[in-house]
Amino acid sequence: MLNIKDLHVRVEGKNILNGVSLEVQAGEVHAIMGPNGSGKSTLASTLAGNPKFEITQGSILFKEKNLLDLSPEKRANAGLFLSFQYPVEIPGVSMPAFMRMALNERRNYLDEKPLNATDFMKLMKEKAKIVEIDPALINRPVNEGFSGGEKKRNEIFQMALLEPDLAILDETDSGLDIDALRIVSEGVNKLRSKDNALLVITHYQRLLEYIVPDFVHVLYQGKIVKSGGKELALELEEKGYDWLKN
Amino acid sequence: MDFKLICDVARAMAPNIYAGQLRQYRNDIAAKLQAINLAEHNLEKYKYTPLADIFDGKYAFDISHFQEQIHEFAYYGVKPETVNGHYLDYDFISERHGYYLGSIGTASVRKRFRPVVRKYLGKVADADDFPAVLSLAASVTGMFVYVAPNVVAAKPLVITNYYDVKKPSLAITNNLIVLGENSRAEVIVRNIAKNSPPILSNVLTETVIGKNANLDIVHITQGSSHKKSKMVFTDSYLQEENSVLTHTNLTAGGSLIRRNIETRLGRNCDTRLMGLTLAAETDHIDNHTFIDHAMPSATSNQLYKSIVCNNAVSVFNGRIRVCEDAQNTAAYQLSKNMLLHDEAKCYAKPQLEIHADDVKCSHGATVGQMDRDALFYLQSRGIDVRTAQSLILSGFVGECIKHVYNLTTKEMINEIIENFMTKHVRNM
Repeated sequence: MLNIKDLHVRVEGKNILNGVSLEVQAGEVHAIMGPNGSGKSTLASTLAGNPKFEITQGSILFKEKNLLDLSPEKRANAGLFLSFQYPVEIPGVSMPAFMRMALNERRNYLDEKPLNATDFMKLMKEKAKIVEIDPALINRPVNEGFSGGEKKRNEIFQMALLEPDLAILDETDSGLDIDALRIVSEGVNKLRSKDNALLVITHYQRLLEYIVPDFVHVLYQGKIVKSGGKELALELEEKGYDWLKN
Repeated sequence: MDFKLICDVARAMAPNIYAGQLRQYRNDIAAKLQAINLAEHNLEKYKYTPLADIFDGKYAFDISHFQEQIHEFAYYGVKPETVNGHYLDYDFISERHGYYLGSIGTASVRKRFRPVVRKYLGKVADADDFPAVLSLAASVTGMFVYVAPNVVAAKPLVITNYYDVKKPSLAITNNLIVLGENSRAEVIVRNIAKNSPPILSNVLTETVIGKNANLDIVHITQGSSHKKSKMVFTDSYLQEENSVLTHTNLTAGGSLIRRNIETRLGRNCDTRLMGLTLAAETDHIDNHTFIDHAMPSATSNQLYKSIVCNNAVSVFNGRIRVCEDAQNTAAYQLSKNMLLHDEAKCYAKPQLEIHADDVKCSHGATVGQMDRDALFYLQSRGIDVRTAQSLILSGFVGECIKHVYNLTTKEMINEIIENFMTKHVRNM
């Protein structure tokens, strides 16, 4: 599904990723952990195609296609989804209008017929249940006036609508209280299948109790310094990152 | 410019525009006009659009192609109320959908309307401000609109003003709108100027909103891009007790457009000023509002936004005065501006003068570029750059036109906005 080779990324003249390699197969869940500033979010944003991030070396294949040739919107159409660490407020742009447009672009890519407004509203209501998001919220302008937790739920709600092949969750747990964390995680689990994959970026082991990873990678100074199974997350929780830094 | 000559020509062209006592008033105000030195007049108010620059150049009154143009418009199925500042239904007052509509000259001699014209003409506007004085002293025509007390106008009154001249021309008008007590009206004013030759227009509209009356007015202005075309508008309101004014002002292009919007509030009044400026190329669009909280318990809300492209300039100056007696006032003002190119400019200036103590006032201004993070967010969901940009801009402007209830007008506005974006936003 995703094949990253020796990825080097620079932001505003500063090297952040220094040779990341990672392979994700369909049906797998990979967790990326690591101390602050290790490059986790940079990796997520680079995969989604944020133009702020400059790739100086390496390659990324997504479903056998060169991801770096694709614009952010083409990546999304092809089935890549980023749940933002800080979802953006867009005043005046209504959620239903925006999401219908987004979904129909995806359907167009998959050679499916576009959904009309009525069918879309039905689908939206159905998907809202997955993350138990207040239906009043999803009729408002995108993220406008949403609390931190509501924004994160809204991200997973969008994921539920778009049904991506690869979803990257960038610190989806931050800003969520314990109940919300459980609801959102359960929502994510409902969306899992043998055909899609997840890349979960988090600081804490807690999220991984709900969304159980097949692999855990530790990113430090722009490189994956250790990989292991789900027990690695527990080990990190106990020992911190210091033992890996040498 | 020779303002004495302009006054003389105007008087010769329209000897009957005001009758009786008003003739003397006109002579007096013409003398006042000639005494004004533009280089020193209200400099702070016209800081970004100096009067001496606006009223400069060679322009003359021109009615030579008047008849021909009326036929032209008839051919296109459009019926404008004024062409180049000349009111078409010159000699009678007609009634439509609850409005009396006629020329100010006719109204000033009709028994029914004469007292109203005498009472308010020249009394609503700031008669010390040059553009208002110019219109009062040297207008050639003007419209009179009257809504009788207790009347709820059935349909919106649509007034279309076309400017399409054959040589550099001057158009000076003054209008009077009077809403009687407890009346309710919706007015839509379209100003459209063709690109060449240049026009210098100066329009004063004095409006009285009677006790408990409610006026919803939408101005849609598409100016000329001819470098020497200039349009000056003064919208002056007098709001009597408990009246409500909603003023929406869309200005889409114009090499030089200056609009003064001034309202004096009575007790318990409510005012909403909503503005949207779309400026591109070398447009210069300047909106100056003045809300005079003269009496207690009134509320005012202002929201002015602009999208500025290329080398264009957008100005918003929002003045609020809360007089000593105007306790329990609430006055809010917000200006948000988006610059889409490096050379685009915006001046946003709040100007609050508060003399009372039980007052809630706020003001804010933002000037920025299109939010790159918002753009990436939309793209990351599969929406292409162009569509994403236009979604963000539509979201940005939508708030400004939320008080336009008439669907035809709303569609017209959306089309103007869309055309602007297609034409100018593409090369961001």
